Amino acid sequence: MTMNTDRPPDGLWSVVRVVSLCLGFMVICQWAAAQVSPTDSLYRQEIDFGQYLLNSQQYDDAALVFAKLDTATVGQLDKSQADSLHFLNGWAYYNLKQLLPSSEQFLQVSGNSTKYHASRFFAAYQLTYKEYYPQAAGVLNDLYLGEDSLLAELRSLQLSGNVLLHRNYKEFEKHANGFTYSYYQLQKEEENLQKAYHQLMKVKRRSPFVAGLLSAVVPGLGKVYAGKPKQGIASFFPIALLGAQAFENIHKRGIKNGFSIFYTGLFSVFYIGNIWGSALSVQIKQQERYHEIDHHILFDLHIPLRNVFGN
Amino acid sequence: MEIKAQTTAQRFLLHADSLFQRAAYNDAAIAFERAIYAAETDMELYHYALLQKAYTYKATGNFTKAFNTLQRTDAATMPDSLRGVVKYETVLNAYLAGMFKEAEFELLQLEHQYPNDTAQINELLFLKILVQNELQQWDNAKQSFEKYLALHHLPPSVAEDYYAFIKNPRLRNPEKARTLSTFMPGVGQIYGGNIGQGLISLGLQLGLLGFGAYNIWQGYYITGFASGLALFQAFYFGGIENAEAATIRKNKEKIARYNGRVRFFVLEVEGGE
Repeated sequence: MTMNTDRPPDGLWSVVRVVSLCLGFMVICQWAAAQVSPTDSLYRQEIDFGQYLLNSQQYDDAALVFAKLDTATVGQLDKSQADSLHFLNGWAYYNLKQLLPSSEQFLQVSGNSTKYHASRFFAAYQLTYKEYYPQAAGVLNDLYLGEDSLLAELRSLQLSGNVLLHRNYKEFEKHANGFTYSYYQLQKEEENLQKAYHQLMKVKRRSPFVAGLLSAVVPGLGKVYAGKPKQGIASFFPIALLGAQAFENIHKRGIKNGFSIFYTGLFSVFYIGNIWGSALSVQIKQQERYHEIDHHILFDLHIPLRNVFGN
Repeated sequence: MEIKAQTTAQRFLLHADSLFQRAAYNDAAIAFERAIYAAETDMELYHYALLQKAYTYKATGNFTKAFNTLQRTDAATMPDSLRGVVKYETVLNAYLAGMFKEAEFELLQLEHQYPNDTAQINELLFLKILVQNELQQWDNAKQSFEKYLALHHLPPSVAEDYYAFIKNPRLRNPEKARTLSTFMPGVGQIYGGNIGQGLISLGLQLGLLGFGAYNIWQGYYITGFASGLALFQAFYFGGIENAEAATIRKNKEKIARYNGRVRFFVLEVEGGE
């Protein structure tokens, strides 16, 4: 009976129970916090320091810190820690314009990470830039995007640029047919890629043989045909003058005279050299044009990534 | 909490210092940055680490980076004990990096903010001379040099000798060289101090002109015109360009010689102390 009087009333008892449970939980929490492994604290410290370096634009030092952390903690990090590390390391290399090391880091970010999509898209872009077209397309095609229609369209854009750089026009048309032009982040670049496609189609395919033949008839005409009119005119005059001098000397001094031989030889070297040069200039002109268009395509692939992923 | 943060920063600093002493400069630079990052409110440690980081860059010949690191210091929070050495290193690294305008600015700032700090102003006087020399402010440089000589109890006549060139620096106007060569081939080069080039230019042009004229006189009109006159005009216009470029080059050589003599003297005095 005494027990009954000693015992607190039921309401109070339950409060005491709750409080003691809470206290116990807090003790456990503190104990757990004290049990942070040396790897964890090293990781925290180095990630914070690395992010500080990134923020203050000391990218080379940041990359070094992340790379050292990677080797020091190999196999000891949990998935999310490893993801953050790879993403930040990729970001440091990206800012250093070391595109392949950056892609290598980005591609190690796993599907659970919030940075997964950004990592894959940036990796694919950098592979495209480095002309690893099939690999870049593979990265993009393997992406699971769920219901996200913006990212789906971004993927179409990246793939269309990829195949355009690869000169696969049929594939480009397939991707470009899916453009909706409805996202402000992508709209302008979608239009630009269409433009680039038409420009590529219009790049004239001229024959080096015809260029050489034209320059054999009239020195420099082959270069005009190739699309370099100024060079054509500039090479016509010296050759014409050399030819005229050879003619004059042969005509007045006879073909066996030293002057005649000298001028005829000089003329022949320049004349034949110009034919060869005209044939080459066809390809040079074409490559210049392709290079210019490709540069614009890469630019239009890059900008939406910065727009969509907000960096 | 603050005590704990400080000890972390100090631990980083000790580690960085040991790397620096082992001449592991690349690692030391990052280690000092780590101390800077961890310094939080400890301004003395913060500035000391920045200074040390600048030293690691200086040790590897990266004077621009050293200068930029020192630019991160903050005069308002820097302890007085570090102010002098930070200023000295800032000016020195700017000079070594070839950033003479920046070096001049730092020196002016010192004289403006601390006009009574004669010890530091005198300590930096030798750099001031070198910087003013590089900026071709020779009158100012001479004044600084006279002060420098007085400070080191050297005869003031030395300044007259070393800056004698001010009266007649024999620097030639590249534009004038151009004009001269336009009307008298080769003379522009000779005016600019390039006698050999002037004679070659003149000789080539006379030779080609002669060859052209001779051929035309002999009835070889095309050869005379194309080989003689066409090549003559190429060398004529080339000669005008060359007169200007050669004069600019020669001027640079002269400036380097004037400055080099003073620099050698000043560094001898500094090294002898």
